[in-house]
Amino acid sequence: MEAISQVDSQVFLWINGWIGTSATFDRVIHWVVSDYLVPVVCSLTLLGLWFAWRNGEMRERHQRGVMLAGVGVGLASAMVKASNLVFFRHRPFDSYEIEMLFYPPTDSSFPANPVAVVVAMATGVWMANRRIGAAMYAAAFVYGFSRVYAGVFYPLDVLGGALFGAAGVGLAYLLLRRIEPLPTLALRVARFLCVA
Amino acid sequence: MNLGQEYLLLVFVGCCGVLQLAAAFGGLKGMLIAGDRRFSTAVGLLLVGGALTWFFWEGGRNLPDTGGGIAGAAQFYLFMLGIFLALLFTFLFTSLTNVGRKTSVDTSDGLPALKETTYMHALTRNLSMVWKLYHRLTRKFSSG
Repeated sequence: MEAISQVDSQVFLWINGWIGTSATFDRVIHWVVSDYLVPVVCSLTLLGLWFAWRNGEMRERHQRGVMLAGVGVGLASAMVKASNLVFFRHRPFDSYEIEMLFYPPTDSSFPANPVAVVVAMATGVWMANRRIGAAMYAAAFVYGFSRVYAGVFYPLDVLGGALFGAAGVGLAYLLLRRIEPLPTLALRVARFLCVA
Repeated sequence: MNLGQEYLLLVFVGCCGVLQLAAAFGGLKGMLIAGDRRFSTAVGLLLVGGALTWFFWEGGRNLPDTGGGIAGAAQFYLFMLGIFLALLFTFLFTSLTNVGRKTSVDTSDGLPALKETTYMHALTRNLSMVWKLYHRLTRKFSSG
């Protein structure tokens, strides 16, 4: 465990050490690392998927994927909260004198909550539409990398966050299957109100 | 405007843009602000791009929630409010701009009805069907 933590710290220090090398790259990271950019773009993608389809089969698949992503985000966030109650990891800036491109958060470093949320969205979408899901995974990867680069998380925190996100969607999948026909009924009500 | 209000505006305008793009992609003509799909696609791209550019013009807005930033839960609620307002605005506005569309359309399958008619028409038709059904089922018969 100690060895893994050391490797994690070494990789973090190597990535974070690049701050200041390129002002343009730092400026780009300053945008990408934001609490708002990637989550908002991913959420808008979910909204778009709900309404964008060309036939009945595609509509059903997209809307169930969005439902899965929504429930998955909720479950992943709950799992992160539960994990924070039993395990606390200090942030990198608590242990090292580093450059930062972000404000210093006070909650546990492991697992990376924002990454869990974005990966949960990407996984839900991937179940419905591989191409858009892959694009969202790429956005989640860039988001996670930016958080390490900016000095907010260790790489293992980001990996942990991604696993929590994927696990949240896995649980959501089982839950939605278990409570069937409620999801189908919810879709029917939405169709009656002409929003699905 | 504080950051929360600016965030809500970003979400509202962004959602309006996404709804136009989605409607143009799926051919939901009753949800387009103008009958033309290409025009609505351009408007959608402009709204999404414009909202993001405006909000992030001065940087990533990286503030802690204790210092003027928006907490995760508040972000979720604001996003939901933004979606609701965008749907309300889009459905009302496009029901007015497409008021002359066909009215004899099957609306029971939800959104596909908007390929031919407007949201307000589809919704009122569905509600009136339920109302008629309710009256038929609860009608009191006289024994004479």
